[in-house]
Amino acid sequence: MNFLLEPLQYPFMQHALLGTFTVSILCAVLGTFVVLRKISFIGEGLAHGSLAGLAIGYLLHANLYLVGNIYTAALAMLIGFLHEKAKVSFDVAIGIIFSTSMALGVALISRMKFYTTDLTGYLFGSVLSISGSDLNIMVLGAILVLVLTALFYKELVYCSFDAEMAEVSGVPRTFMHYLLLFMIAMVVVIAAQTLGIILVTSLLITPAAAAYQLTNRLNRMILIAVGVSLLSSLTGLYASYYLNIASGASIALTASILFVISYALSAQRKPLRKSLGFHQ
Amino acid sequence: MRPPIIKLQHVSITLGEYQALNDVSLQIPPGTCVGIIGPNGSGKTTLLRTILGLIKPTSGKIEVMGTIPTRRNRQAQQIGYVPQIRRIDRDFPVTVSDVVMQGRVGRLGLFHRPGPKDRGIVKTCLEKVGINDLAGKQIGALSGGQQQRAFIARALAQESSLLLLDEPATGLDIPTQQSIYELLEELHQEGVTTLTTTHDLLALDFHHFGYIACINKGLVAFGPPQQILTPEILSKTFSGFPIPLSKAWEKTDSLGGLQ
Repeated sequence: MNFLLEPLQYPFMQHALLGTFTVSILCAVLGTFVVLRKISFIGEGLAHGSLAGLAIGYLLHANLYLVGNIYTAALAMLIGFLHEKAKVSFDVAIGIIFSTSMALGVALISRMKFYTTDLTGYLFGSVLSISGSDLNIMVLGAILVLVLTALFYKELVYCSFDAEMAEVSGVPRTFMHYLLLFMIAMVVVIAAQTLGIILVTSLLITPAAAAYQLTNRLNRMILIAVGVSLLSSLTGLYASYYLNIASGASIALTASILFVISYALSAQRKPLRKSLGFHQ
Repeated sequence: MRPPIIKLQHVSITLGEYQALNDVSLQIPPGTCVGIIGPNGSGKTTLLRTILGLIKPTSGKIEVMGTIPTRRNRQAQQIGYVPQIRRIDRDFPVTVSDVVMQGRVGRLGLFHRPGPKDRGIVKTCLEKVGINDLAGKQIGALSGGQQQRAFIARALAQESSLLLLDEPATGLDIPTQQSIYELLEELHQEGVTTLTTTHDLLALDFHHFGYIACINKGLVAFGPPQQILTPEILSKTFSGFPIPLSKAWEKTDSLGGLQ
């Protein structure tokens, strides 16, 4: 018991825990839509692209979260816009926008004269340096995303399953698409502090993918994903504290182990699925 | 006579450089059961998508239920649509009744959750297409024919007075095809206007359409079957390909004779 409680006497660990919980829930919920729409590259792309936003925030001496969020949301809209207007597929649009933005970020950072600890924290994740004001913005962002998801849930699901039919029945398909992109952008920036922008995809994809192995009901999938995500974060956080490894890495590795376990658990259902011609 | 539910005046559609439909004028009275026939690539789907407002006519005017089909009018119009059988994501975690409930999403509008009334409608629609025993199954676990019924049930759940079906019977076995056409007849009795496309003239054996539109990049002919199902018109529709005589004509001839 002491093993679990000891780290919590430090305020930075309390912040870390609350921050990671927020991130876990958010990533799991939105990750479910990301996995079902097969757009997992979006997490990676927006996370990497957000580097320029963080660099700009740093140069302006503003709150990195706020600037990062606004910048990344704009990036997400741009990806959506490019995909819609130009003859490029969604992953190509992500590739173009994220590499451009990341190049801009690298260019800006290379011009900075001193060593920027805050920014390296974003690269590799430094959950232990979440401040009180960071936490406030994280929780506010999380509430916004969860409320939006709840409000537009049936439309988001319909558009993910059958976008054209959703459009025919009067669902504002383009709005839903941009809304989802906007929410993913928020989540990516919020998660970047914990996981580092290199590993954001981990919590966005792996818990939802693990849940996907275990159920074929959507609401259950979201709940299981949240569970897997929370468990990954908690285990990862303690591993990070006791083994002194980067929190992003330990959380990502735990999530991957949980994915392997759920895959093994789902293996019993495989023969039936094969006989129905799945995965062909 | 009641005003037409669908009215096309000199509608032409060019997709890129491809002329998909040329100068189509057509008036469909409400409550009719229309068959749209033509070979593959003749513009049948384009016609349906234009009626839905998914494609804008390059020139000409279109009116559906008294208004121009646009994104804004779509929610109020609630046109039922069953697209051509296509690959769906078989692993998508939704049940058959979830899919049929999607038919209610547009009617409910934003911020409204489905209630007991909607669940009742879903149940009725599943019964109508005869798959109420599959309600709890994941959509991907169904066979092609069962999936098609589920998608028809979803369109029915919109409670629309206009239903468009794009090749609903293609790729299905004969009994399933027959049951789909029986359902069309039932909808006709209820006063629903239906537009059904097919490239398969055997469909005419199963179902007596009130009107037939022959399409081949334009409207070849439109009218009651006894006027339309002549070797000349059919040959013209199918680009000069000689159409073998089918039972359909004998049937429609005899029906024509009765009338």
